[in-house]
Formats: sequence, structure tokens, C-alpha cells
Amino acid sequence: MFKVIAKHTISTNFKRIDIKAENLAVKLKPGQFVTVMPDRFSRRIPFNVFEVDWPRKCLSIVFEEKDAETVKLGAMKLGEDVFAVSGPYGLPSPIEKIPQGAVVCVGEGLGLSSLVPFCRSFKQVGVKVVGVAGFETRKTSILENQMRLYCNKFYVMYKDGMHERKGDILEPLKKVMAEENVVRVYADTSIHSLLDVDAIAREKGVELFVNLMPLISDGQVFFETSHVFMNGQKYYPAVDGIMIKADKVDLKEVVRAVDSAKEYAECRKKENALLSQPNAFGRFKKFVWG
Amino acid sequence: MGLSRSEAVSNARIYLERERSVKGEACPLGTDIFAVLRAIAKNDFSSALETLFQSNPLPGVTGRIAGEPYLETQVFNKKGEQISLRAIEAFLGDNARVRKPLAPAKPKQKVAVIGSGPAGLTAASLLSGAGYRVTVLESSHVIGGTLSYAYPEFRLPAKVVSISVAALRDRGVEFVPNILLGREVLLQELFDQGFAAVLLACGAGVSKVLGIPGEESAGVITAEDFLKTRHWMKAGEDAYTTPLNVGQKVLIVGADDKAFDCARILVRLGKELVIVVQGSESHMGVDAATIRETAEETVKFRTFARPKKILADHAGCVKGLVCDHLDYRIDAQGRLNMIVDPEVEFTLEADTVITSAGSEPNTLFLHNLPGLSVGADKSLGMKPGTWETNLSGVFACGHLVSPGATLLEAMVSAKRAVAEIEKFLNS
Repeated sequence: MFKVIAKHTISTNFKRIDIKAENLAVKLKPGQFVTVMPDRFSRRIPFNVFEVDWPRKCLSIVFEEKDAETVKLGAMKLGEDVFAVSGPYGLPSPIEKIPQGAVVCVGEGLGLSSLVPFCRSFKQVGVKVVGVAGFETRKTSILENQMRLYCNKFYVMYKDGMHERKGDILEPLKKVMAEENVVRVYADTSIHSLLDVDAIAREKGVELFVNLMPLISDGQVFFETSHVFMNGQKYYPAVDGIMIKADKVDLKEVVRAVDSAKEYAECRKKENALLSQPNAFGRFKKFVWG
Repeated sequence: MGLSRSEAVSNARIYLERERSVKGEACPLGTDIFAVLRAIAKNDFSSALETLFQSNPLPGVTGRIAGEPYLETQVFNKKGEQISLRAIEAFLGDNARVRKPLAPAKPKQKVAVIGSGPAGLTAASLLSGAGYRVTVLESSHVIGGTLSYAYPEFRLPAKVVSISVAALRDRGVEFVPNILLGREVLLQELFDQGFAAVLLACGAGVSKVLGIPGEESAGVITAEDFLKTRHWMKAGEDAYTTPLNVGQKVLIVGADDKAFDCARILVRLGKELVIVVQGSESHMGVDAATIRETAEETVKFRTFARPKKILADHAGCVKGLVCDHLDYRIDAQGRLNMIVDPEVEFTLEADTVITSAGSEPNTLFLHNLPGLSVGADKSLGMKPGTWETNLSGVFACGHLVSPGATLLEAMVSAKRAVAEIEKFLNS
């Protein structure tokens, strides 16, 4: 039912797969996300969908093989069925014609997969789109071609300094904010960079939308009825979405929540590894009897 | 699993010889228990199942987890064991596919049931038995709703739920998992596809929160999410990839069925557990047998404790729970009053806090459905005195309408909603 119809390795550890999802694909809008289960017992992995092929009714995702589930997903063969694809979750973001203004889409790494749909949609309605992308190295860059296709201007930076573009996204972003009549910014960067992007947007008084995917993906198991806490209230990412206006959320609280969740998951992993080691008697028994 | 055929037949015969009626309340689902027992006594399991299925399509489930005390009889078999009608009910459920297939009737209209929990399955069974073509849409990847995750394997084996679902498939009920009403499909699209009525049975799987400071700390999880992770993803088991993410010292805040099920799962995994309860043992929302069995498994209870604040370390991870000590006094009018002693505050250490504060109707995705009335308190707008929502042809039942209902009450509400659907479709 959810057949893998295309698969590419696009850079070191990053893969793209196209999955057929007849009902779902045609309902997806920018700002929404889906979950994918590689097999019956794996967790639901939330993904941003960077492309939807309407005639073939398939959606395209990019992911990094960094844990057991994503490795499993990366190992799937053409024609094999992914166990489940669910959604669309979240709310579609408004795409409107903005006269005499530009929209900036700034992202790092996998964050570009949520931004490509915005670049395409705004370009389709005639809005000027400026893209700013940052990657660790040239080998780990993804979706550059798509960004170049849909952006009127595109700046890309590599932290290892390839092609004389050393640095992070903040310098080109400041340059764009100074030179262009920016009306709105969409950001999907690493969680710590979001604070810097927010500061730059606030300084110019520009509307900023941030993608808070790390709240539900890093160290978490996601269910559609799961909640997180934002501004002291319950918030349902599956219902209300992860592409949120920055002034509606305390970004420092979000950063703290993501870091805490990762720290907690690490502690549990170390604890389980320690507990699964045999004690002295267990080791002796294994030595004597095998 | 449970009784064998010969035991079921023998127990049914002995009970029929000794008793002329079932002592206690009549079955809330309207099951003719005596007719079922008579059929079993004659070795006619097919008829017994047909009779039982007219009112209860989930005997394997109700026979294990529905708590009707009158089904434990005072009649003893030849081995000296107490005859349990519940065990006989469970036996029938485990052999639910023995029934002869129904003679094909003239198919009636199509009905969509949203949700495959106890209410949804009951409605699907009754509607298909009445000749309607039923499709059950389920948002998760597992059919069964709360039956698939809210009960540990030793209380309700997964195989029992699969047998019940397979029996419904044999009857022609179609199940579509991984489909979300309100997103992937809308109500109007269902009507456009030819469904004449829609029954919402989405359940009450949205967890309430305690509402205390610190609840946003890492390591605070709801009982609902823990049970889903454990049952659906086999978290913590060696052969599976999802980690359990529960520390060694666990506090469970709440004393309902889900809290106790979490406790009994975690104690088997070697965790140190304390269940924090606001009252005494008599205030717990489970029966005395469950409390006793849980205590026997070295789970400790901290009674008369009201959670006040969750403590977190510098990284934002849970490290403890601060509680107020409660006391109860009877006032001059004879009423029981709860008194908080502000000077007696204590802290319980924990790596993980599991909260079980109750649940709310799952109307999260129904807000998007044009025209459907959903209140701020997440309740559905229903036409007074009926099981129909404010939209014509859209009905609701089960925990979605009454989140505090028991399993049997949810199944009874499904039965009543089905009666209204039939009246609507025949009008």
C-alpha cells in the first residue's frame, strides 16, 4: 500500500525515498508533516515532506540514517512496502501573494526539507523568495538543486569552508535582511540557531515562523494524541502543527525542552547499557560454562 | 488460554443443574446467559456464539477484563473449583471463529465506523449482523483501540483481540488502519463515497495532565503513552529497536486501571515502583483484588499524598516529586473533608514520573470537520436525548461521549447508537 517507488543516496548518510501514498499525498500542504513506520514495531518517525508528485501520488522525504529505524528505512528496497505512512499532521501555513516584499527561507541540514515546499508555493504565487542554507560540509549538503530552482536568490554556507563559503547561516541572513524588503522569514535550523535567527528577525520587526520538529523527534516517541508543554499549556503538535509563529512561543523554553529530552534519553541509554552488563558472578558463569 | 472445551461443557452442565437463573444483575449488554449455557451444554458452540454475538461481540475481552461480580458463581465443579461464567465467556471468545458463516442477505447501506476500540467493534458487529456493509476506519496502525494497548498481556492477550477482529472480518467487516478522519479523509468525502451514516467511536485516548509545576520536565510521561510504547512498539524488549526510556526509580501518580497496569509491567522489568495516591486504598479506582495482586508484586503505595511539584535537575530531567500530606476529617455534618497539612511536605525521589490523571474525549482532529460542533471542553455537540451529533447522519458513542464510562457501558452505548442508526437509515 505504501510502496517505495524511488530511492537515492543524496549525500553522506542522507537518503531520499519516494513513497506512494494515494490519499495522503494529495492532501499535504506546506507546513504539515507525516509519520512513517518502516515496520510493524518501529516507532512513528515524523518527517517533513519536501516534494509531492501529484500524478504519481507519491511523497518524497529526506532523512539521515542515525538510528535503528532510519537505518531500516534506508535499507528498504524499491517496490517494498513501508509499513505505514500517516497524516497529514499539523496545520497548513498560509501562502499568500505578498506585494513588494520578499520571503526568506533559512535552514540548516535536514531543515531544508520543510522549506522547499514554502519556496515553491511562494514562487508560484509570484512572491520573491530568498533562500539561505547552511551545512556542515559540502558532502552533507542536501536539496541545494531544489532550493536553487525555487529561490530568486540562494546563499549556501559550509562550516568546513568549501568553495570559499565558510561559516554559518547568520552572516548571509543579516545581509539579506539589510538588503531586501523582507516581509516574512521561515526558519528550520538547528534548535540553538533558532534563537539567533529570532534575534535577527526581531531586530528588523519581521514576522518569523519556526519549525519545531525537534520537539517531537529528538529522543521522543510520537503519537497523534501526545502533547508537549508550551507557555505552560498543553500543545498538540499533531493537531496544531510544528511550523509556529515565533512570537507565540518561548523559544528558550523550547530549546531547554529539546536539550532535556536528549539528555534524559542519553541517561536512560547509559543506564540500560550498564544494567544489561552481567555482574561478576554472571561473567564467571559465562567463562566457565560458556 | 483459559478453559478447554470439555471443561466449558462440564462447567455449563453443572451450573445448569444447580441454578435456575443467574444470580445478581441482568447482563448490561442484554445477553441471554442461560440460552448460551444451554447451547454449550449440548456441545453446540456455534449456536452459543450466535446467541452471544447478538449482544456481545467481544466475549474474549469482556470475559477477561469486565468486572461483573455476579459472573463468579457459588457453584463448584467436580475438581472443587469455583465455576466462573466469565471464564466460559472468555472460552467462547477464544473460539469465536467456529461459527457457521451467515447466509448472505440482501446487502443494505454502507456505514462507516470511526475507531476500532470496544465501542467501534461492538457497533461494527451489530451493524454487520443486521446486514449493513461496515467499514471501520482506524487512525493508528493497530486495530483494537484501547484493547490493543491499555491492558498488559497477562490480563488481555493480544491474540484474543486478534481473534475478535478476525471474527468480524469473517462477517464482512472491512478494517482500514492508518487513516485519519479530519485530515486524510473528511466527513463529506465519506458521504460522497456512498456511506449512508457515520458513527464516531474515537474513544477517550487524550491524557489529562496533573497541572502542577515541573510537569514539562523530561522524564514525565503519561500512562497512555507508556502503554502504547510498550505494547505497540515492544519498547524495552531486546529484539526491538524502540528504547523504553524509563529510569530505575519510577513514581506513578494516579490509581486507576492504567496506573496499575503500568506498575505491573514495570515491576516485571525490575524497576523500583511507588504508586502515589491522594487517598487511601479505598479511594483507588480499581478493585481490591488488583490492589492485592499489585502489592504482592513488591509495588509500594504512598497514600494520602497530593502531588505538588515535580523537581528537575540542572538539565531539566526529573529527579523527584514534592507532595503534600493529606488527611481526612469528618466534620460536624458527617461529611468527609480533605485537609492539606502545609507543614508536612515530603519529596519522593524518581528518575521517571508516569502520570495517570484520567482521559478526555479524542476530538482533537474532529475540530476540522465542517459543521461538526465540538465544545471547548472537547465534548461533541449531541442532539439532546440521542446519540446523534448536530450533523444529520453522524452519530457518536462510547468513551468519545462518556469518557468515564466502563468497558461495558461503552459497549452498551454502541448498541443504543446502532439502534438509532438503524432507525435513521430505515426512515
